[in-house]
Order: sequence, then C-alpha cells, then structure tokens
Amino acid sequence: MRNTRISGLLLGMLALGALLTCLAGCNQGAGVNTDGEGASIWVLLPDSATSARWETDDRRFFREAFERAGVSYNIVNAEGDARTQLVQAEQAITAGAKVILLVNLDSGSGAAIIALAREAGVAVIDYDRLTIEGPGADVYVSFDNVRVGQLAGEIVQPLIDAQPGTPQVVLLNGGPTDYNATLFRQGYYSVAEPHFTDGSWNLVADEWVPNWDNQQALVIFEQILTASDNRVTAVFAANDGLAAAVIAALKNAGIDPGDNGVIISGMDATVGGIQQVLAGDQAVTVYKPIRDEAYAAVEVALRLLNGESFDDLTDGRTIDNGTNDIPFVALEAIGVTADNLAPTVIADGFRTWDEICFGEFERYCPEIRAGVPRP
Amino acid sequence: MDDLFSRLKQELATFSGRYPRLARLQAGDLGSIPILIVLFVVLLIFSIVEPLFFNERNFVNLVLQMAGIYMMSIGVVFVLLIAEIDLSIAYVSGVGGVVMTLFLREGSSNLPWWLAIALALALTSMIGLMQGFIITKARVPSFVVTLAGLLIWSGVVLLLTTELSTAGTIPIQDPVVLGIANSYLPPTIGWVFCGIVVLAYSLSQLAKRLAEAAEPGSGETWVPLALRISLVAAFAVLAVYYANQDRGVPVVAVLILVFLVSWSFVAGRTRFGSYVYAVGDNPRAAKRAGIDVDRVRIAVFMISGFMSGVGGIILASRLRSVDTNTGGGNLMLNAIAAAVIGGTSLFGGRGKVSNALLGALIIASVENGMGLLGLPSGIKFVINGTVLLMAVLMDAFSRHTRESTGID
Repeated sequence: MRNTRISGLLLGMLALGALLTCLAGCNQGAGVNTDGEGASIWVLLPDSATSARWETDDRRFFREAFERAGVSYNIVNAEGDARTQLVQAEQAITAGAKVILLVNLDSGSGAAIIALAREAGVAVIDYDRLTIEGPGADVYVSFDNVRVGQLAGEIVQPLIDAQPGTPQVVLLNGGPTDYNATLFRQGYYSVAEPHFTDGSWNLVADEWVPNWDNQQALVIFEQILTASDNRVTAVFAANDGLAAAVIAALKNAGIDPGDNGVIISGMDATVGGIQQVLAGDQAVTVYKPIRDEAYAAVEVALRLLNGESFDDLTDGRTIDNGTNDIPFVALEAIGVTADNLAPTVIADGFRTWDEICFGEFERYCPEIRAGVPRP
Repeated sequence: MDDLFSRLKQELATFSGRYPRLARLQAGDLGSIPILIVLFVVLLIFSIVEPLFFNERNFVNLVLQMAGIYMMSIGVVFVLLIAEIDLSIAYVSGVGGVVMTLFLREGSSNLPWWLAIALALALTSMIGLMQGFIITKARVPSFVVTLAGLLIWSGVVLLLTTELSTAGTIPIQDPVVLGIANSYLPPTIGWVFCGIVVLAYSLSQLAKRLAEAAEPGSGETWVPLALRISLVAAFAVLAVYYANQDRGVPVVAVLILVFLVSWSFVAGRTRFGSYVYAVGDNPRAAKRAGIDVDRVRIAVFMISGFMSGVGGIILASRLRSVDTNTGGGNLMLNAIAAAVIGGTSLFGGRGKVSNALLGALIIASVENGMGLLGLPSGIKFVINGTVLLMAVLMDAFSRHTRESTGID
C-alpha cells in the first residue's frame, strides 16, 4: 500500500519534471533560422537561461562576423536540452553544413555530436567549452582560464608587495566541482606561490566555495577573518560575486577595504564587480571580451571551410582533452581597473555607464561617458 | 533484567507523580533536552579543537549567521506542525530579497525602505498563499506543489537578476536595509534590552505558573521555575556582556527575539495556534471538531512565505547585494534542518518555534566552527549530513518511545 503510494508520487514527480523540461525546450527543436537551410556554418548554442551571454552577446557577434565574411550561416539554441542539441546537429549535417561551432551542454552529448559530424566529414569547433570525452573536436577556441587567473594575480601583485609588513593573503576559490575554478586558481596561485615560499607573503587560508554560492562565501570568509583576528590584507577571489561577499564580510567587521588598503581581486567584469572597482573596494576584475572570442571562432570556421591552415592562430598551442591534444586558439582576457574601464568594457558595449552609474556609484563615474574605442 | 527494568519503571512512575515534568520525560517527550545535548556536544567539540570558537567576535558572527536561517525555519516549523512540507522556502526567500533590492534601486523605482520591505513581504506571503491554495483545493501533495515552486521561483530569481537588470549582482545601497544585519546596539541599550528580555520572561513564566496552580495537582514546583528563570537571566547577561566586548548586540538579535516571541505566542496561546496543532495531530478529528482545516493550512503556507521573505531580506542585507544564485546553495536544507533538529516532528503536531532557535544555532555553529578550522568542502558536507541524521534519529527515537508507552 505504502509502496504503491510512493511510486505513484515518484511517477507524478517524473511527469512534472518532463512537463517542466518541455516548457523550456519542447518547441525549440527547429531553433531560429537566420539564413535558412543549406547554410555552410552552423552555430549550436547551449541555452539562454543559465547565462545571458549566449543570446545577447555571442549571437550578435557571430552574426556580425558572418555577415562581414559573407558566408551562409545558421545559429540555433538548444535551450538547455542536450537531446535538442543532438537533433540540431543532425539537422545541420543533413542540411549540408561544412563546419559546426559547438558549445556543448555536457561532454557526453558533445562527444556524440562530434562523432556524428566526423562520420559525415563535418569539422567541429569546440567553442568556449572543451569536450573532454571521446576523440575531441578539430579545434578549441576559448579563453585560457589559467591565464585569466594569472592576469588578476599579476595586476594585484605589485599592490600587495607595496603593503607594509608581511601581506596576509587569502585565496577564495570557486566551486570545488567546477573545473574552471581549478584553472583560475592555478593561474593566481602561480603568481602568489613564489611569494609564499620565500616568506614575503603569508598564506592565511586557501578555501573553496561550494557552487560559487555567495552566502556560503560570506560565512567562510567571516570565519577566516575571525580565525586570523581580522588580519587579512589581500584576497584573491575567483569571481566578482565572491569578491562582493569578501567586501561585505569586511564591512560587517568594521573594515572598509578601500580605506584600509585591503587588496581584493575578482573576475568576470559583472556590473557589481565594476562598481566595486570604481568605489575602490576591489582592485581589479577580469573581462573576457566575448567579441574577440566569437570573431576568432568565425575566423577558424572560415579557414576550415576553405581548407586553409589555422596554425598561425593556435601558435602551436594544444590542450589535452583526456584523449588527444586538441589545437587550441587561446584568447587573451583583459584586466580591468578604474583606469581602463572606458576603452575596454564600455567601448565593447559589454557594459554601459547607465548600468553601472546609479545611486551611490554615480559619484565614482566620469563626467563624460563616451566609450573610447579599443585600440 | 526485564524484571529490573519494569521495577525501575514503576519506581519512576511513583516518583514522577510528584514531578509532572519528569513524567513527560519518562513518557518519551524529551522536550528540548536532546537538542540541548547535541548543542552542548557541538559547542564542546569546537571549543576543544578551536579555542577561537568562544571568542567574542565569533559569538557575534554566530548570531548574524544564524539569523536568516532561523527566520525561515519558523515558517518551516508551522508547515511541519500540520504534517506538510515546503521545499520552495529558499527561492521564495530569494524572490523576497531580490524584489526588495529592485524596489530600492536608485534611479529606477527608488522606493523608501519600509515600502520596499513591505511589498517584498506581501509578495512572498502571496506566493505562500497561492501554493497553500493549490495544495488544499486541488488536493495535490505539498511536496510536489512546493517542488514545482522551487523550480519556478529559482527561475524568477534568475529572470529578475539577469533579464531585468542585466547585472547579475545588484548591490543594496539603502542604509536602513544594510543596517538590518550590519548594525549593533550601543552597550547601554544592549543592557536595557537584556533587562527587558529577562523581566518579560520571568513575568510570563510566573503568570503561567500561577494559572497552572489554579488547577490542583498540576504545575511544577517553585524550585525548577526559579532555576529556569535564573538560568535564562544568566545566559542573557553573559550574551550581552560578551557581545558588548565586540561590536555590541546585533540588531538582528532583537529581530530574532521579536519574531520568536510573536510566533511562539501565535502557536501556543491563540486559537489559531491550537488549530494548527490539532490539524497536524489528526486532520479528520479537527474537521469534525468544526475547524476549517483548509483555511488553517493555507494560512500556514502563508506564514511560511512571509517568514521566508523575512529571512531573505536579512540574508540580502548581510551580503549587501543579491545575485543570480540568491536562495540557492544549502539554504533550504539548512532552514528545514534547523526546524527538524529543533525537535519539530516531520509527522505533524509536535514542535516549538523556540526550539527551532536551538536547531538554527546548531546548524550555524557547525558551519561556523568548520569555517574556523578551514575544513575542505567535502568534509563539511559529510558533517552537516551527519548532524541532520542524528537529529532525525532522535526524533524517530522519541516518537517510538512515546508510542510504546502509549502516552501522547
């Protein structure tokens, strides 16, 4: 009796789950056709829910680059459903695509799509996310996340060195299950490590924040502060949200990071992060120019389409996906401080002054709010 | 052996005839004793391995870290009392925090703090009302409805923080809202507050004792009452003294007590409160007794929504911002665990708003202590799970003893 009830409940939950998934993705099978069937380059985007970038940024930059090159293309979005993406890949192959730009939803389905494409003689570019199962894509275009972490580290290094006494340094890393968090840490740790070994900096704590959860980060950092008797002078935070938690914890403890010269680094160039940089609470954030990434991917796609070599773009770099060394077109991120905000983030249209400058932050913003074009 | 046991039982029975509290203990109603034991063990372990745990700054930290979870767990207590569950609390709290922050945003809506808070709380209460309405009227298990709610409200948080503002992280700038979780009573006001709390507690306990004394043969003797009052007074004095050594008594501590007292009053002294317990004990009997069971249920889910909103606002104030992940992480688990560890039965009808405070304190202590020790995330998960399991086992154990002694 009880068992049937429970299984009934489970069945109900399954049905509900299916319904909700369907709400998100059932209608999206065909996706949006920009250039109709017979397009030679297809872009398979993953979703529009977990990150706004795919629909608002990537799609726009891809379209720009393709139109400029004058090739036929098609951009579709799988809306978070790996099966939808597989169907889209099949459609692309059937429609005669020569190159597929893939942002996989997970490595398993990514590997399946790559296998399908390879069988049909279609080239696959892993875009932003590396497929770490199976033989891997023909080429990988992304930011070098180790370099991203390193960049943040290099910008704050002289600031930390200039601190009086021995700097007390905390590493607040991202989610322990997110491989990118591991890469970021590798980057900033490579900058900090020599200082720890020669004793010029003191490592106070090196902790991970489950799921990048800012509330948990707040508690974790509060406890680091308490355990060190508030003697923390520099923090490598793995993104702007974690940096925000660090700043909140410091302010709650009566320490204004700006006034007390606590150096905090972040990443992602979120509006919140940029505001913290402008207000002097955070030393740096790292901006990954999506435009550069999209343009580079299109360039590689064109070379593949025309059967040309793209060795000059990879510069001989490869990345190990667990099975093979995949040629790697690595993009450079940009460290953003209050000084170079206008010619980078603003000029690219990645963020606008209107988003950043409101309320309390108004007074940190420049009078003239035009974006200076990036050199 | 069996003989000895039954004799012991008999002895206890005659003895406890004179001490009603003991009788309840013997019947398996351990009250807050198991929770106090767990709390004591947790505090003992941490104070041995990390002396900083009893540092005055950490004491204030603990109160701040506990506040949001406790507010939400009050709602959970009510929901568990009627033998239902609300899985949506964490994201409803997220919606509350995000909506308040958006209403406060200068340059766009720019509402005064009190209006933003009131609107956010009204919204989360409405969410609770809506879910309660569906659960009672459509007769769908609360588990499923609030599971759907969990998905829906997590989506709403994501939409509000990305689509509406494109920012991802939205800072809070209003000084009053920031002050909720980040300001402290001046030392003298702290002492005044301490005096009021002790006085109010003593008076309420005395009044209760006098009311009980009117019925012959019940009520406890004066000695344990005096002992209890002096214990609470000593704890209050110590807490305020300790907090004053650091930043002072946090304003959230006052809020915690206000909500604790108000909701304890609602649960324990009002007709609505007795309906809640009655519905949880036996809904059919409650219905036959003329209680509008559906209305009680809907009201309880509304309380859950409201208290989630209160918790969400405190959490947002503490973080000084809201983000796409607001309401995510282990928040739901912590809030429900606080209520369960605080002795609220998962099977309805048994539990107290005040005991959930002890549950929240245990949860926050474990997280706080492990943070001080800098333990890796994996170990933290294991320990958190173990504490929860222990508490639920205790609940099951005390239920079984109660059933076997036949006293309820």
